Amino acid sequence: MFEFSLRQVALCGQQPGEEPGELAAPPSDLTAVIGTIGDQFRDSFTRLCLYLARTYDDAPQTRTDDTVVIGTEYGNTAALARLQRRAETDGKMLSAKHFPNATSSSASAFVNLGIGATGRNLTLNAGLLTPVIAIWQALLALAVDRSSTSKVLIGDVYSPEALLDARREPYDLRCRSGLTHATFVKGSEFRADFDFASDHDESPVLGGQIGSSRSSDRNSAFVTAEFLELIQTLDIGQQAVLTCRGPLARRGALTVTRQSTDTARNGGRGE
Amino acid sequence: MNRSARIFVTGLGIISPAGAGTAPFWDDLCAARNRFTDLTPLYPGMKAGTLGGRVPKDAWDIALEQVSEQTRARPRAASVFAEYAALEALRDAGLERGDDLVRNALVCIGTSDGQADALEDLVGNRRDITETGGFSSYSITEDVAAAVGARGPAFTTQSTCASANVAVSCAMEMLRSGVADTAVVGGCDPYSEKNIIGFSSLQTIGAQRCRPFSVDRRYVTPSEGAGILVLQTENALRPGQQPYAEILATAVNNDASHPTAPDRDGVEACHRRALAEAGITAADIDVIFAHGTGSRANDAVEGGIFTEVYPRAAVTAIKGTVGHLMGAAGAAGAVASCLTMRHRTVPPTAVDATEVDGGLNLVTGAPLAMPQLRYVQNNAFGFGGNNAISIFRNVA
Repeated sequence: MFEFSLRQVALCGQQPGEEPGELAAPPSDLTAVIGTIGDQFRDSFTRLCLYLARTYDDAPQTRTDDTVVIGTEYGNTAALARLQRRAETDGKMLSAKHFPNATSSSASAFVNLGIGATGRNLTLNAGLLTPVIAIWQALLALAVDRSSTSKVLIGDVYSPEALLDARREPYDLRCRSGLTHATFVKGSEFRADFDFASDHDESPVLGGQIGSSRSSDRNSAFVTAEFLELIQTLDIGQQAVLTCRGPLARRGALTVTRQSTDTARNGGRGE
Repeated sequence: MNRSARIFVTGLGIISPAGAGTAPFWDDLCAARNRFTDLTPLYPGMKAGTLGGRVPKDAWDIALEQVSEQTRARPRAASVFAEYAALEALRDAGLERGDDLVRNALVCIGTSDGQADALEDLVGNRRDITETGGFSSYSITEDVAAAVGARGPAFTTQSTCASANVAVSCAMEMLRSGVADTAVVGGCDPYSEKNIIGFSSLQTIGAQRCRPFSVDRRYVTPSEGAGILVLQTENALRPGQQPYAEILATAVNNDASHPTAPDRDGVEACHRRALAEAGITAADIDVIFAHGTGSRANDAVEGGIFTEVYPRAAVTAIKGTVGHLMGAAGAAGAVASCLTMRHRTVPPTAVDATEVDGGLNLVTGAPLAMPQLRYVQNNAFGFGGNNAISIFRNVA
């Protein structure tokens, strides 16, 4: 069981029906927020992570002990593929600036660098259970006093290669790009209870669901944002449940109960 | 939440350029014997003669025999390595697939390059997505979980070359929080073309082998493999099990300073955090398995901290022997740390005593016997300012 307050939630993603891939209409202030330096090396996933981390929170003036958890299935795949292709075309002229942008945790590195976060930082992939595991890790950092703020980024910007992979086992779920950013802070507004007991049903409906309402998206950015928006509307004593199911009876459930109304969202950096 | 729950390492498994299993790994470490080979240039203009460490063919064949049918039918190197090491670690712990403890176990694998061969073949138009078996990094952990018969939480962590230690940290937190009482945890990374290209573009790999903490050090020697630990809480220990060590802490932080260069303040902060979480001081540490990549920058930062903060500790670095296992580097260090506990012997660094930089207390030459060994520290750092340090306690 963890206690927390939620300072903000933001989602940036494609609309239903949009052809999956790059966002057709990226945020209009994207360039103003993250600049253009290094744009030829970084991919859309890094850009969007950095944009959300910088936009929807107060920019700290100094380094912080914030924890940053990125939950993603495909992360920086686009940059990884681009480095391989550029080596073919550029040969020994290949720029050394590609590589730092083309690791599996480049987005995390640039977010930490961009917001001066020196606490725990993780990029994790739990498949369809990614949101529950990512939020667990973020709340743990608060519970054990490692950080007073935990920032979570969940989702994917599908590169062509990522789409091919995701569609191998589509689980009857659609793919659209999107990323959710949430800032959890120490507080007692909410209580979170996690349950990782396996499903008894060997062939459950896979993916995320809130209560009994199943998400139609594979990208868990959307169900995460919907869930975190929902909990902010709860009255004291009310609960909401996010359940994520994966193959082989793997299951993670997060029950959030509102315990109080808090001022954390209006209270600067949460303390 | 029982934060004081004690966690023990009860099983070890590894596959590396030394071969399949902990025995050849330990033999090569103690002999400071490397098996580096020339890597094939991967793009026009890439220098020939760059050294790397590859898992030998006979070790690959041994691993392939033991992994799941599914992986054997469509082998991806990361899954082959990680499954092999996990199965060895399980046997070493005296546990079996499907055992009660294993069925509910947490599985957490750290990797930087993940299923690199699958993605790179797809990008290079050598195989289509179906033939590759897919490249999501989660599939590695999923494959390990299936191989050992675990249905507990399963996830992959990706923090460049600190990935395995970050996985250990995540697993420890979940064990201490009561999510599970047993964990199969570690790291793996296969040979990755993208990685070799990247290091080559930075001119950090080349024809001279990795010489950690040498005044003549110049290059990192990339390699591949997997290392896995079985962790059990005190309550989950079975009669007769003899843990290698108690794992006291694994601290994780970020420099938030530079995309590739290490930052002394950030790295030092991770050391302080690890000691604080372990409840000991720097003076208590007997042995440090350094990250020791052999790069100018990393070894200068680490070496400076060791000489100033840990003057008593014996330091060793295994990358001159088995190379840099990338996301599995921390796992290789953890396996070596636990074997050091068991044998009370510190394997040497593969450099000559006369070339050690800066008065560092580096173990060179013959293995160092340490009958009174108490605490061993294992460092892993990575691009992106990722730092993760584990501390083990002798329980013999």
